[in-house]
Amino acid sequence: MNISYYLYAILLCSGFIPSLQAAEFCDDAYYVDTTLPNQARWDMCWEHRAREGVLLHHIHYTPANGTRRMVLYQAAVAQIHVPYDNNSSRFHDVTDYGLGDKYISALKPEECISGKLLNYFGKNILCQQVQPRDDAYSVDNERQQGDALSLFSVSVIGSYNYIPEWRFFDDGTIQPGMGATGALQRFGYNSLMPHGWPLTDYKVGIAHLHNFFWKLDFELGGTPNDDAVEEINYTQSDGKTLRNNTRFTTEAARSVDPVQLRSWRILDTQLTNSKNLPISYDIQLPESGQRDAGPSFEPFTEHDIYITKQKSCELFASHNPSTNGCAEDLSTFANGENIEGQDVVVWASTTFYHMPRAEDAPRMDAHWSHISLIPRDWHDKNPLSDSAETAAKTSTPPPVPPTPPVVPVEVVNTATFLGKGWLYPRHFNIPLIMRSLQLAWAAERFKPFTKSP
Amino acid sequence: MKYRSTTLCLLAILTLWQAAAHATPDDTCNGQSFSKTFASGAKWRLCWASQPAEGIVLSQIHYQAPHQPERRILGQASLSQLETAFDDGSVTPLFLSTEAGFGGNNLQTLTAQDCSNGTLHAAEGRNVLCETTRDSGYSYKYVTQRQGQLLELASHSQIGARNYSLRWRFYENGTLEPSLGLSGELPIVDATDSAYGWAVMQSGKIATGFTDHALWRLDFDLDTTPANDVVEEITSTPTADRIRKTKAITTLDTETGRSFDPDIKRFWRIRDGVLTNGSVGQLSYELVPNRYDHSRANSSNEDCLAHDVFFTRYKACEQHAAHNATTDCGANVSQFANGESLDQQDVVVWYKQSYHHLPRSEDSNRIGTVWSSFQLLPRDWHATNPF
Repeated sequence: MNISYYLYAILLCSGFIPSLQAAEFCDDAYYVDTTLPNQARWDMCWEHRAREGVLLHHIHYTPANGTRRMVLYQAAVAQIHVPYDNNSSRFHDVTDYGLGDKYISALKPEECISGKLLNYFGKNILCQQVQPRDDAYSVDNERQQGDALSLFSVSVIGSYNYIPEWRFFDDGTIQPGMGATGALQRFGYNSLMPHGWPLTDYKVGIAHLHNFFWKLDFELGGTPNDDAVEEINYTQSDGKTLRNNTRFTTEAARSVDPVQLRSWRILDTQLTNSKNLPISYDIQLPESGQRDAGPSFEPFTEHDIYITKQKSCELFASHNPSTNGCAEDLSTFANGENIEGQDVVVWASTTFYHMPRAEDAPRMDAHWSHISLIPRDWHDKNPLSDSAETAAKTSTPPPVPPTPPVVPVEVVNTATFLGKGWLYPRHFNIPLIMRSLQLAWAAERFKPFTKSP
Repeated sequence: MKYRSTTLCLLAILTLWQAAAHATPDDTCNGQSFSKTFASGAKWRLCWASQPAEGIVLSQIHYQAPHQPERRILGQASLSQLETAFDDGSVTPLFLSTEAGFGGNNLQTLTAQDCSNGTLHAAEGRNVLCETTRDSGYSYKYVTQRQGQLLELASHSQIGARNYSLRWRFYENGTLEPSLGLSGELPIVDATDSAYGWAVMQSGKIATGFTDHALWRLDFDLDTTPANDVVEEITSTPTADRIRKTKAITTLDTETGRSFDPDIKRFWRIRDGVLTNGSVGQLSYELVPNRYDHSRANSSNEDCLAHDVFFTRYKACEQHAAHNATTDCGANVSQFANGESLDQQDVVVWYKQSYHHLPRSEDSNRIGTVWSSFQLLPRDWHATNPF
C-alpha cells in the first residue's frame, strides 16, 4: 500500500479532513453541513434540477447536544402557479419554464453578504448564510439569541425573479419561503382597470396570484414507512377551546379553517422523546389569508395541503408529466390510497395575491410568502436552554410583575407594591395620604385576579 | 362603603388625568424623539414613550424616501390590548395590557448583551428599548440588484409567566412591520384534561393551551392633516366560473368592523383625502395581515373579537380595544364603532391578530419565541419605486 494512503487514513481517523466525514448521500460539493452558534447542526445535500431548481435531500437536524436525525428525505418547490385576474395568462412557472438551468441566476458575492456561494458546474447558484433570527426565547432577564441557516437561489422567469429560500433554525424549525421581485409582468390600458391598479396614466398593472407549492417528503428519524399525519382542529364554545386530533388513514386534500384553528402535524409512529410522546413536526400555513380556489380546470388549487403516498413520478402540483400513467396534478395524486405504513408526502401551499401599486414600477420590491414546519416533542425540552422544567404552580396567582432591576426612587413605595404603574401618574409626587387611598382602592380593584394565572 | 366611593372618586380623577394626557390628535410628540437615516437617505422619524398599559408606544411616525418629501403616516401606534384566553376556560379571559401592563415595572431593563450590535435607549432611567439596524436581503433584483436594510426597535415585558416582545421593524422602502413575540414559560402546567392542552411535562402533567389576541391600535394621520383620512375596502370578486376577478373599491363611510375574506381578497387602505403622489395615485397605506389560520378564535363570542379589523373615528378616551376604561367611553372596540362618519375624518384602525398556542415538550422549560407580525405597506405613497 502506498504510504500516502496510510497518512490519509491517519488524517481521516483523527478528524483532520472534516469534509470527508460527511457526504454519505452525495458528492462533497453538494453537501451543506452547518453548525450554528448555539451548536445546533443542520446537514443536507442539494441537487440542481431543471424544473425544481435547487432540490434539498437527506436533511438532518442535530439539536445542540442531541441526536442527529433525518427530518426530510427530499424537499423542493413543486409549482408556482400565476393566474392573472383578467385571464390573460395562467402560468405554471416551474413546469412550463423551470427554476433551474438557464433560468437560475449566477449570484454575485454582494448578493450573499457574509455568506458562501455554492456552485454548479462553475455557476454560483446557491447562497449559504448564517443569520441572526432575533430571540430564541426570553424569560425574566434571561434572553437567548437565535440563528438560522439560510439557503437561497434566484430564478429569472419573464420579468420575475423568484427567490426560493429555506431557513433552518437552531431550534429545529424549518421555514420554506419564496420571495418575488423584478418587475410587473403584465400591464394594460385603462379598460383593464377592473382587473388591476392604475400605475400611471394609461397604464394598469394587472392583478394576479402566486400560488406557491412545496413537495415535502418527510422521513422522520430516517425510516420512510412509519410516519403518520394528523389534522388538529378545535371546537370553540362556552369559553372553551377543545382540541381534536384526527389521523389520516388515506390520502387527503385539506384546507385551513380559521374557525377550527386548524393545523397539521407529521409524527413518527415508532420514535418518542423521553416523555413518551411521538417525535413530530407541526405544519402551519399562517399566511393563508389570500388562499384561492380557482376554476374547475385547476382543481389542484382547491385545497391548501395534500397528503399523499410517495410516488417518484408525482413531482409537480400541476402540469405533472402524465406519461407512464402518472396523474396530472395534486387533485388526482390524492385519490384515496391507504397511507398507513407508507412513505407519506406532504404538499403544502400558500398564496400571495398581488394587487399592484405605484411602487411596483419600474422595479418591484421583493414580497415574501412562507410556511412553517415546527418540531413538536422532537426534543424533551427547549433544545437551547438548560433550565429545569417550569414548576407547576400550587396556587393560581395573578400575573405578578417581576421585581424591577432598577427602581426609580420616587416611585418605589407604590410601584413595587401595586406593580400596576398605570394607575397613577408616576412622575407626580403624590402625597402619602393619596397613596394609601390608592392602595386601598387597588386592593379592591385587584381582588378578581386571585383566580388568575 | 364610604371607603369604596372615595377610592372610586380617586379613580375618576385619575382617569380624567389619563384622558387629558391622551387628548392629542395633533403633532404632539409623546416621549422622546428618535430618527434614523439609512445610508440610502431613507429616513424614519418618530417619538416613543413607555406607557404603563401598552409598554412602548410610538407616535408621530414619519417616513421619508430618498429625494422625496417627509410625510407622517401615523399619529400613534400601539399594542392596545393583549387578551389571553385559556382553552379549558378555567380562568376568564385576561386583559394583560390593562390588568397587568406591558410598561411600568413589567417593562424589562435590557443589557448590552440583550442588544448585540445595537443601541440601548432609556426611559425613566432604565434601558428598555433596543435599536438595531439589520440587513433585510434583497430590496429588489431586476437586471441590477439592491440589498436593503431595516431599523428595528424592540422591548420586552414580563407578564406573569410569559414574556412578550414588542418589535417594530421599519424598512427603507416605507414598510412598517409591528410584531408581537410570545416567549417566557407556560402559564399553566398542571391541568387535568388533555383535550385542553398537551402533556408536555416529564411527570405527564398537561400544559393548558391558550389563545393570544393581539389588538393593535393604529391612529393614522397621513401627512400634516389628521382629520381628512379615508378608508377604502378593496375586493376582487371571482366570476361564477372563477376564471376572472373583478375589482371593486368601496369607501367605508361609517365606523364598522370588517374581516378578511380570501374568496374575494378583501383588504383595506387608509388614504389621504386630498394628496396624490403626483401621478394618478392617492397617498395611502394598506394593511397586510398574517396569521389568518387562527383568525376566528373567539371562544367566548366576544363582540370585540368578532372582526379582524375595526375602523373608528378618533376619540381620546378610546385607548384599548377591549377592557377600555368606561368613564364616558365605550368598553371595547365594538362599542367604539357605533356608526359615526368616517369620511374625511381622523381614522383609527384596530387590527386583531389571534394566535392559538398548543404547548409542546419544547415549551416545558422555555417557550421558543413565536412571532406574530403584520405589515403596513405604502400604496401609491410614491409615484414610482423610490429606489
